[in-house]
Amino acid sequence: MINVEKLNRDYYFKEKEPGFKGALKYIFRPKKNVKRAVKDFSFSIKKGEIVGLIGPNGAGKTTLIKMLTGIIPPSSGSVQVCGFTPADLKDDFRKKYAVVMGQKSQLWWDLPAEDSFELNKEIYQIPQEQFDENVKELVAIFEVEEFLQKQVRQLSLGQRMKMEIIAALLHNPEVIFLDEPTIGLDGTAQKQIRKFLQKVNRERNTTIILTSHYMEDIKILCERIIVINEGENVYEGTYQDLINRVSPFKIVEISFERSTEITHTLPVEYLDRNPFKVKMKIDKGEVKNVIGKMFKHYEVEDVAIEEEDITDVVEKIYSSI
Amino acid sequence: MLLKKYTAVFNITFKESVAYRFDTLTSAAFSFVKIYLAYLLWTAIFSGKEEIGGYTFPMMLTYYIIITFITRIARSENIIWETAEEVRTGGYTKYITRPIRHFSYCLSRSLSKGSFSFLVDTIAFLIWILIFRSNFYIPENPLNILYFVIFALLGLFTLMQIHYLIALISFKTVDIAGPYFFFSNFIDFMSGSFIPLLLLPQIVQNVISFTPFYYILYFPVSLYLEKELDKMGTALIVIVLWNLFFALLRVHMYKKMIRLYEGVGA
Repeated sequence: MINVEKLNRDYYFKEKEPGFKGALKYIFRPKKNVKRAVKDFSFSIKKGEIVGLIGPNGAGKTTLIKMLTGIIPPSSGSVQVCGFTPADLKDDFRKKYAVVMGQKSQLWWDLPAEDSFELNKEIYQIPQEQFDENVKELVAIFEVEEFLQKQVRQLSLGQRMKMEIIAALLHNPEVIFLDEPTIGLDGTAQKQIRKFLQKVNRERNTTIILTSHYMEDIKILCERIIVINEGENVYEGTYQDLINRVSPFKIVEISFERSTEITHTLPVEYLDRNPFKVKMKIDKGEVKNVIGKMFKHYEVEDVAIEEEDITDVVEKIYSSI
Repeated sequence: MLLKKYTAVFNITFKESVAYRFDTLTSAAFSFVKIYLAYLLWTAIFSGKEEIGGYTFPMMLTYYIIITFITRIARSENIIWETAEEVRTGGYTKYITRPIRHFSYCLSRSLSKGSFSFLVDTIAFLIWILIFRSNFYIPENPLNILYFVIFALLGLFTLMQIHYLIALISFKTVDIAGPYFFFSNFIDFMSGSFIPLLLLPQIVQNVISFTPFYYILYFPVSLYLEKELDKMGTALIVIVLWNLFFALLRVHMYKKMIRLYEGVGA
């Protein structure tokens, strides 16, 4: 479905030095610079996969999405999406995908969202029956029926984002690119969008490529993730493998029925310790062993096992890979 | 099917214009200022004179009323600002990612905005004619009105192509205000929006008659005023050739400029 080989993208920009002298220099003799935003990037994605693209700010995620959708051409290397070269901007290609960028809008600001849907119906030449069916289904999933006739500028961010997604998906695209689709949304809206993406993927076998700063999005949705850092493909694999790789620990919290002193030496790092409760960081391979010992020697009331804090894991991902 | 796509753009733009109707209505009312100023100015200039450059006073006033009307319905100037804004903010992405031609999209929007202005301004226009009825020139041969309409439409299309070409510069410069003000004043002068070109020295007129600007406003209005009727054939050839040239230049420039787009802002 998607094949990317040795993709590079350079950005040329002029550097402006501070101060009046810098401003003058910028006018008459600007310092030209080049930055390689994506470096020798290769990967492939099969039909029906949900792939997460993660990386810190400025890592090159959006640049990569832009090249996959033909918004910008690559400086070198090759991209094939649905058998097309995106930068050729063929209409047949543009009908095969949809792109939703959190910061960009294709809705008409001063008109109700349903007018934008009607326009997309004609732009994508969607048969009336399919259009009616899709609008009905998507509007029901996102529970936005009452907002259809409201001017887009009067909608909340969450309502607008849902309308953006509906507008983008009316033509049943084979591939959906989502760049930060849940940015700034509340928990309920985030959940609705995730649930919807899973449904589309399951029922229509739609390929989904997603970037998000919310690791919850990635964890719940993506079968596979690609980590991009400073423009390079630094990891490709499952979310769990990545977590195991950068976070070999689990956090285990055990509470006791009565005041307890732990007398055994255990392979753990105590994060919190009092007579009624202990919180420990344990190597994943030792979790079973430690909990077993606890049950055997002490009066355990409750056990809670968690992954390391997701924010810490993300930081580790970006710094350790 | 293709036409339906752009008819939909026309329709949605029309709805948008209705949402901004107050803006259109007030600017239509203010077009009176231009006409009234022309009335005061040319009343003073014509005092004691029957004709200036072959124009009687009613012809001169009619010239300004019609020019004002055409410039009100020529809404393609918006293409420049809208495109520049979309390139600057990354909003242009929606034309790249959807199966739509930007030029045709702009043409549909200009036609739609022009049609809305036509409806609103026709009312204002009829009021000006009523106010200045004794000084409004009506051609003896009604066919001249038809010629005027045909050439005015060709002129509007030419102007739209020029505006589109200026809009494409924004891919390179991002800020379009400078080129806009330069070209806008240049086009206004060269097309006879400030003063009828007939009042310029003959040599200047001859030079301008080889440019497309001559045929945007001045020539159609001259036909309405029953002048330059013998030049229609030549005018048609010149304007068609210019439009062909602009179309080729537009396609070539678009291919180059689109590669400069970076879709910033995300």
